[in-house]
Amino acid sequence: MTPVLELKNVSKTFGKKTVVDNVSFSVNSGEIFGFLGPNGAGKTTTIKMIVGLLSIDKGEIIIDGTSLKKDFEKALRNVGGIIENPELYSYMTGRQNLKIFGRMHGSIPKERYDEIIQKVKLSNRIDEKVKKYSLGMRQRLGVAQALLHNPKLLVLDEPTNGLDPAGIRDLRNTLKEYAEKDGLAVLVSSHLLSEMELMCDRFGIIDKGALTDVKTLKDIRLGKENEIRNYEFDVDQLEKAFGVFEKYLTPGNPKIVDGRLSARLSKEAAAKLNAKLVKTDIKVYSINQASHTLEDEYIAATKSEQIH
Amino acid sequence: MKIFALTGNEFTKIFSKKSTYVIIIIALASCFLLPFMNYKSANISHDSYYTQNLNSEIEWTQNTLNVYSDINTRLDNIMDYCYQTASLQILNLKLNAGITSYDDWRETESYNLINKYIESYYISYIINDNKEYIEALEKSGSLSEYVNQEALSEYLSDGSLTKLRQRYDALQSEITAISNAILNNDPAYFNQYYLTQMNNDIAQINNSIAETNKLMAQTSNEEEKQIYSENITELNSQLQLLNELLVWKQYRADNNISRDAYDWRNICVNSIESAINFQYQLPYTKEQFDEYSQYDYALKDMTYEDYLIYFDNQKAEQRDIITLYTYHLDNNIPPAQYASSTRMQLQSIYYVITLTALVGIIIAAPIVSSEYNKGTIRLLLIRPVKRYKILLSKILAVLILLIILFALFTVIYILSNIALFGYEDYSYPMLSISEGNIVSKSILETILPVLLKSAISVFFIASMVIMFSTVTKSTVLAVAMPFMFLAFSGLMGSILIYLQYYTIAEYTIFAYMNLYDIINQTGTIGNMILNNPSLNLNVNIGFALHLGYGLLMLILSFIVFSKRDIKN
Repeated sequence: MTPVLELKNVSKTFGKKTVVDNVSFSVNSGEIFGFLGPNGAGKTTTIKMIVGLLSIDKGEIIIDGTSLKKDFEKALRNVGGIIENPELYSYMTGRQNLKIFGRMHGSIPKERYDEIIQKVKLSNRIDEKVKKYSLGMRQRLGVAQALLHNPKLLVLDEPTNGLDPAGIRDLRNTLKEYAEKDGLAVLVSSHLLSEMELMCDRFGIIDKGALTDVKTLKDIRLGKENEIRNYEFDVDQLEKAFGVFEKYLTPGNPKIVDGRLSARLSKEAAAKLNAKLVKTDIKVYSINQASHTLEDEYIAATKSEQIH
Repeated sequence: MKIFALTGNEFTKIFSKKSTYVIIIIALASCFLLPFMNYKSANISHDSYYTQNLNSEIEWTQNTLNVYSDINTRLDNIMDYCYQTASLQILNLKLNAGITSYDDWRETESYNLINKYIESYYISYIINDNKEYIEALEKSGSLSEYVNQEALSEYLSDGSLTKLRQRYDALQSEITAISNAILNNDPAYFNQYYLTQMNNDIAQINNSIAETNKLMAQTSNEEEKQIYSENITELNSQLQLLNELLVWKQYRADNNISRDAYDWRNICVNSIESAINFQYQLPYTKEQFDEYSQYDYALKDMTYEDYLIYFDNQKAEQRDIITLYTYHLDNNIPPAQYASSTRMQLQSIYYVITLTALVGIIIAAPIVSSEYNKGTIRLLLIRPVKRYKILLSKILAVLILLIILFALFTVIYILSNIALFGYEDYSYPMLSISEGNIVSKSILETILPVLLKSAISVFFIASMVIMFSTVTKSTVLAVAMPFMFLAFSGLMGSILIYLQYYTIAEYTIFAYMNLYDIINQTGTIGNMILNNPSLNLNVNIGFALHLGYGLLMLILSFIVFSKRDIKN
């Protein structure tokens, strides 16, 4: 698979401060890539370099095989984006806004406008002035302008800001659909981890300007087979069950937390203990395995943040 | 190709704003209304001011005269007493004649009566043998200053009153006649009066020449002969001047030329008369020049040789005026600047340049800065378009719009003038002198090239707006700085010239802000050019400066716009 976006040792300094330090990663066609990091880590700076808002001090950014530094116009021809909030021309209608941006990409057929307007569900409001739009409608119009010219790479900076839950779901579905159907490569930055988890296939975590980790969702979800994990048992007779656990496990391992029995176990051990509980007439309502979350990864990767 | 689409985008943005329409409509309306306002303000009556002033002057004079009701005070201040009495007569005359404006020609003519009144008072004291008054007058020493020399010397030598009586009667009838002419608003009387006076003056000079000739014939002293001969030359020159002026006095009388300050014929004849006078003036001698050049601002930086050339040039200019205005009078073509409406029109058409610049400031100021401030720049610069193209499209949109508006403003202004004054004024040709020949051009042929050349300042101002908008990202500064420049550069220019920093004035933009003032020699700067021969403001340099500085500011804008990181 050829990457649509490729960053090679990209660095950016503002004055003496290195904001982005030697960052390399790539985003493939059909992939939604999440770009994570605390505020001020260099997410937006990296993204702004990709879309041409900031100059690249060191390294190279290649979009669909074209170096941004060498041929700006050709490289950006395949990029759509929303950087921070989509600030549109509020004194113009939604359609006029789209036409303004459309014309900057060359000629776009009239049907394409209608198609994208329908896609973002703005058909009935598109000829109203943007200043009358809600934040959510503006976000949707922002998505429309980003996808209008059928780009190969979509860059979204904090796209869920200001969207209601339904709007977030719509956005997620739209992105997934375009990624799967058209092979659109999407780069999304956010600090909303739960959102990212639902949306992205792969993650890059950036801290203090440096990329610390790139993982797939699978990598994170599935630990190793015999990894010891935390299991929570919801039972009817808590004291009795605790006694059963104490018999088989090392003291200090089983604990009662929030009215549940909790212990660090392997998969096999958990199954065996469950059988023992059932045998001693204890009702087991549920067993939860605390899965390894993106949050854990995120915290682990950005250790500096833990101090705060 | 893309640049056209981008420029179209900028037009869409400009014309999506309601404020754009408001500004353009206001500007168009003011173009249409300005001629009407000019017309109104030119014809506004200052009656109330004039009449108020007149009444308070009368009151003041009467108060002064009340002080003189005490005989001793009156005798101590006999000159002022006579002066105030005469003043009161004249003020009442003005009141009765219904003079309501300082522009009224009778205003000056009334004032000329004052010496005649004073002389008549003085003579009446002598004739009536008012001993106290005569004594007081003798003490003040003003008798000989006012009273006819011949009559006075006869009285002083043998106490004869004959000539004084004659003089008194003559004065009385003259005062009555002049007063009547003023009351009846009768310029013909004055035309005749000045013609007669001129004839009398000529007769007098002829007498003097004859007498001097006689004296010269009688003497055998070579030195005296030399002096007489010089006198005669001097007198002949005067005679020649008066004879030339007499032609125009005669012309006035024959053609019944009014004395109205706004009548172009009167203005032409006046200008010709003063130009004739100038032809007989001699340049300063070296000694005079050295003395006067210390005080005379215009002569300060000149050598005597420069001055002689300057003087000759002025003389030639005045000679051209005689030729030109004679032609105007002979062919009955009013000079455009004195024709009733075109005069106003000529002075004000350049207003469309300032207006275009103002509209330009308001429309162009947010064109870059608002993209930054509103954040739309982040959607604008992520397109497959090089940044210089985006700025270029903005500049093109502003310039194209301003060119269209400038043309529109000019056309509406001219049409409004025609609607107000009719086409007649426009049909008069404009006459000028080039290399001694009279050149005739239509009024538009004369105005439009000046107007178009001066319009380069709109480009300069627009470039300044775009520079401030781009570099400072502040719409307020992009409005304020060019606006201040537009408003105060003329003042800056005149201060530079006043402080005699001529070189700075000649190579900075300030003095050149209104190029039409330099071409037409109007306005403050135009007057300074007329009065400062050492100041050399060249229109073409001014044009080049506008263009050059404008381009420099645009280049700076391109560099900043292309290189700047969009951090927020």
